[in-house]
Amino acid sequence: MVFFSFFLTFLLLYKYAALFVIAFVAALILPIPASTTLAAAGAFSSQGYLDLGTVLIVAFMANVAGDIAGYLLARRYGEAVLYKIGFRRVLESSRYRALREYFLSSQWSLIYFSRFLTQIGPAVNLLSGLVKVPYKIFFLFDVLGEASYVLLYALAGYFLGSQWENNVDFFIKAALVMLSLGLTVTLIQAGIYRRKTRH
Amino acid sequence: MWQFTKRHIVIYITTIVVSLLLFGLALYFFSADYRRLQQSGILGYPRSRHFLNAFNTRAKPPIPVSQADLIRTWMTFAYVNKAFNLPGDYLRNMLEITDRAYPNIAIRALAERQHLLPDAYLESVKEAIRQYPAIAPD
Repeated sequence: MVFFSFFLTFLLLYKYAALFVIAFVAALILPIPASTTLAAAGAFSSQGYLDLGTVLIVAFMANVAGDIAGYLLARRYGEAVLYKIGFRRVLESSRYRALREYFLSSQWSLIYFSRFLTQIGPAVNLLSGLVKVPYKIFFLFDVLGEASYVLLYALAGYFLGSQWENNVDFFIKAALVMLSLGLTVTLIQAGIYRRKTRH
Repeated sequence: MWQFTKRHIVIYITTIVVSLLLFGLALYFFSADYRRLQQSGILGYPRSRHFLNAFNTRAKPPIPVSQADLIRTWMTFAYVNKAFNLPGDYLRNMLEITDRAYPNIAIRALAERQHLLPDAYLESVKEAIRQYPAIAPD
């Protein structure tokens, strides 16, 4: 809780700048509690301390910027870095090729649903860049996913208002719903792709 | 490329069934939580035709002083003043705060600067807020 308290105080002191930094860094690489911070920002908006519209725009832009930065860095330098640090055998293995094929078979659902889980979002961004998911596909489903994620958490915090902190498990359940739905859709999508490539 | 055997197909279908069950369970508990929050009045979703009125932040009332227990040490005085609709200098005067960072300083940080226990200082902040209605001008 002390760890999370730091982000809340940071948000209260520096408002939208803090929200941007937290969301951007979480989307890029670090597993920090960005979802709960976003919900808190929504709650602070309900009390007039922040403006809800500005919170939505800033959080959305920061998340998309962080995702695209991770994706582009991995796309441009990912393979070269991995080769250099000794992952040649992994990259040239059949398992990696199978993983790459699986990822490309269900890219849109993986990209979209991973936006709701800040812990795996950065990994999906890096993997998308590494396997060279087309720019347009990544951007489209990233934007759609981030818009849905920002609206869900910020509005949940907004409507919970001053009681948001006592109902953190509500957000956890929302994340579980999206995680399980994402898993199901991804599996079905991969199965359909597999059937198409066999025929 | 993977070659799917019968075993792979069974694992695949089992995984989909498990994930569907997980989705169903998660959705059930989420909607139960949502209903609980709405029935208790915590989820301030307006039951009116004018949905857009819900987003008018100026219409939201301040937190009543009776709910001063919601305050935490990570909150700043600026936020507390806004959330409870307190005059900017009220807590400064009541708690005799001379730190120039006020109100843009967290309760915990101010307590540590004054070499006080944060939780004990938090209680004095809550008490000062509870006394506001008796002191405030009409």
